[in-house]
Amino acid sequence: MPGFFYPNEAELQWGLLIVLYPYITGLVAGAFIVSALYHLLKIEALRPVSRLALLTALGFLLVAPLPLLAHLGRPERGFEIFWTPNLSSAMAGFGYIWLLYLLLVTIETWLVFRPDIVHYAQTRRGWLNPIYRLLTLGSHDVSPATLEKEKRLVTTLSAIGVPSAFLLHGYVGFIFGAIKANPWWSTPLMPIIFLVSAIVSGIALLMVIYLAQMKLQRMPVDHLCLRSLGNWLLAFLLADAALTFLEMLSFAYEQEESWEIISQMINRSLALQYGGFQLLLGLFLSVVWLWTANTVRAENAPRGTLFRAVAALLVLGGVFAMRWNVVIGGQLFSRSLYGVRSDLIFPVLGQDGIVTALLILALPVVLVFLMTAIVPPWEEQRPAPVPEAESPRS
Amino acid sequence: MKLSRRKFLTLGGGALILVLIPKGIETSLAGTAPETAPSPIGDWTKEWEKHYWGFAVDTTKCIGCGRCVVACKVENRLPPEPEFTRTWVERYVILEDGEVLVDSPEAGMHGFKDEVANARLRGREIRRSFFVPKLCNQCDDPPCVQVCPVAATHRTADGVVLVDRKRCIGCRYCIQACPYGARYLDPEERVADKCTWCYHRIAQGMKPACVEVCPVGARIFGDFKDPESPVRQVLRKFSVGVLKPDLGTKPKVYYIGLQSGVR
Amino acid sequence: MTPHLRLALILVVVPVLVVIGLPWALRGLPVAASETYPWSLVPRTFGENGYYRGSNVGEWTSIAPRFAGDVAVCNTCHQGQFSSWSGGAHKVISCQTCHGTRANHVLGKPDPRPASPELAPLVAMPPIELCSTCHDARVVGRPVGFPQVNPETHAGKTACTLCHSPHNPQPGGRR
Repeated sequence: MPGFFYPNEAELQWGLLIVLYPYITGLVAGAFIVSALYHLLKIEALRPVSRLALLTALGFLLVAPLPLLAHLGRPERGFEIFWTPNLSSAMAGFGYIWLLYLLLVTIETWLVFRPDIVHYAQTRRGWLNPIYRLLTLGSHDVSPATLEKEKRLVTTLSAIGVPSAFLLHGYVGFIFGAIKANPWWSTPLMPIIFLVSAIVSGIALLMVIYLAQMKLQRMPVDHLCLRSLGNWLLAFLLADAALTFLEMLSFAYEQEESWEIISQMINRSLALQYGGFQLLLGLFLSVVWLWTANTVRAENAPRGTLFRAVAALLVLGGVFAMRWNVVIGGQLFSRSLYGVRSDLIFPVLGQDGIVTALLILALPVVLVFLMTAIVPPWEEQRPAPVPEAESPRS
Repeated sequence: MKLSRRKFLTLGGGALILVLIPKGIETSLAGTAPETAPSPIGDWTKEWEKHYWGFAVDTTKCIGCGRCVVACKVENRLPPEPEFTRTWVERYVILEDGEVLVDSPEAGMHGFKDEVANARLRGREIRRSFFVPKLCNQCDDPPCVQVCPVAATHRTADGVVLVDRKRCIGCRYCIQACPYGARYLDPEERVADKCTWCYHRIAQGMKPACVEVCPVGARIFGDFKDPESPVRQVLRKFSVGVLKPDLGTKPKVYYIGLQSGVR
Repeated sequence: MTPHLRLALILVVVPVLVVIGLPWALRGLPVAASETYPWSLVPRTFGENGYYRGSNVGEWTSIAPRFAGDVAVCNTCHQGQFSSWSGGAHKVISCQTCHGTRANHVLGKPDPRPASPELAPLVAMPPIELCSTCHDARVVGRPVGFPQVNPETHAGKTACTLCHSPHNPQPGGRR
């Protein structure tokens, strides 16, 4: 017996697309953090993925507003959020924050890849050449002095980018955390939980994309880099686990009016998604795999990498489950606190359907692969530095 | 309308929309063709300062006939389905063992005739049972207005929260933010909708439709700026409560005989 | 700053400023004569009464009522029913509770038909069903003392109106 729901609660308002929205923005924030670890903290081990991290962040960032736009009842009015933003709304700022962050990541990525772009514009022929020439913006200046200046600028942009990434994704958490009508969402921990799980998912995504690309392009995997990524992932996963535990502990210990219905929801409607996918697979098992990977001896590095790849995939699934449990879970019980349901049906086709969601999720992956084809971020393919004297190619 | 929206979705691109969307996208309020002459009110914003509306519900009188729900749907041209409703009636049955059973079959629009609900009670003693009509509380601190990203929902000077149906983008944040379940997404126009206390009627000095048809006087409407107003008398005579006061929304629907456990 | 960097900044910042700023710049110009999307990106009356589109208030107040505001006008034509009604226990009930929308009727025009049979007025129902809407004793939850009967045992399938006048019902059934 589902109990009582307000009549207007019969419809699910926020479906799969709104699950994707924090998932994708989280991946952006996480991927960017990895590039910042290299550019700011100078973690040399991460150098092989530092440029891939930027392309990944950019690809997912471009797609981030798409699930939001597609879920709107009137998508053709979506631009109103830029024109007449309601400043008291926790949602109104998203457009602006996204836009600023997009500018920042675009410029940073462009600067990082500029030597490559100039190199390809001068050496590669064929139909791609005009694209490279366009991307150079008419300047082939890759003198060490210019590059040194731009390197410093990249560091500055990274430094601005980290709080921006925190803002972007912490903000997404706040969109949910600020809804006092919904006890499952309304917690000050929400932004920080979102943020840490975002970093976790971004690192995992980077590991998966990197390994997939190395396999596809038959290039050697940098196991040291994977080991570093895995350990960063492990650290943030432990923080994520602590926060998740803290949230549940305070819910269960405080036993507010809403706890009765929320505990029913967790046990009945979300047993698999919460206990199974988010906690067991996404947190516990992935921690175990990462831990085990660290016990693998150096000569067996490929095996360690395999363990870490398994953990990364588990994390990607677990963080998706976490977004699901927040977004869908918040709509599985009545705000009257007299009913719980688990019989929601998700349409396959249509604006809010599973197919749309899958397409939107596939889009950034395609974008990242396209970008890595145009400007390969791999170490092996970096153009040799131009000598101090006049560049021989120009 | 639907066609142009679908067309938009397939075309996708954001900047192209200016060119692509036909004029037909502009839909009239509440999807109505003008059926009578427009109301004789001039510029209401010149007069609205003189009023401040309030609503009272007497849960000791309501008989759960559901005529208010039907009248609301007729007056406001709402979809006939009960899951898109501006007002509804809940029934609370509190059993001697303390369990609270709540139901609102089809939003209460056809009353509470069904024996199925009664069957749940078989063999169990009822301590107390009553009906609670619900509608938008027109909160003085409305979370829906706070969260609307495009300022499409707003509060009037006479204290009513309205939705600009021509600007709402259908993000449904307001629906999530309303603690009372008062809002829904209009299935036709895909914009948020909710009770307006029949703003078109009260601006003409009429009562809201639900108040007009209530056979037992369980719904009471009035103007706080009028000393003779029924709401002011209710608030003087009875001890009243509001729904979920702890959320700080400052609702303006006052319930006489509000039993604890009503949420 | 190198020229290419300056160009890059211009290329990303200018479009953003145009997209965000242009609608406000266009506000009030003849191209923005319409109050609604898409021709007026920021509506002309936006901000008139507060941070929202001012003309929205008028749109809400200009909806035509379907229920009449005052049933006293009914006495003009239906004097018999009106005096019967106003002398009995049902005088607390509006004519429109049973008879449905009458705003157009009093203006001499036909009232709109209900959009669905579910929204039909009570008078469209057979008498037992009509009266049971309020007076069915089997419904759990009604206030103590409210006049109710079990329609099955009270008079079987006999129409309530045989004994009771709906306009002025008497407890003993004196019609």
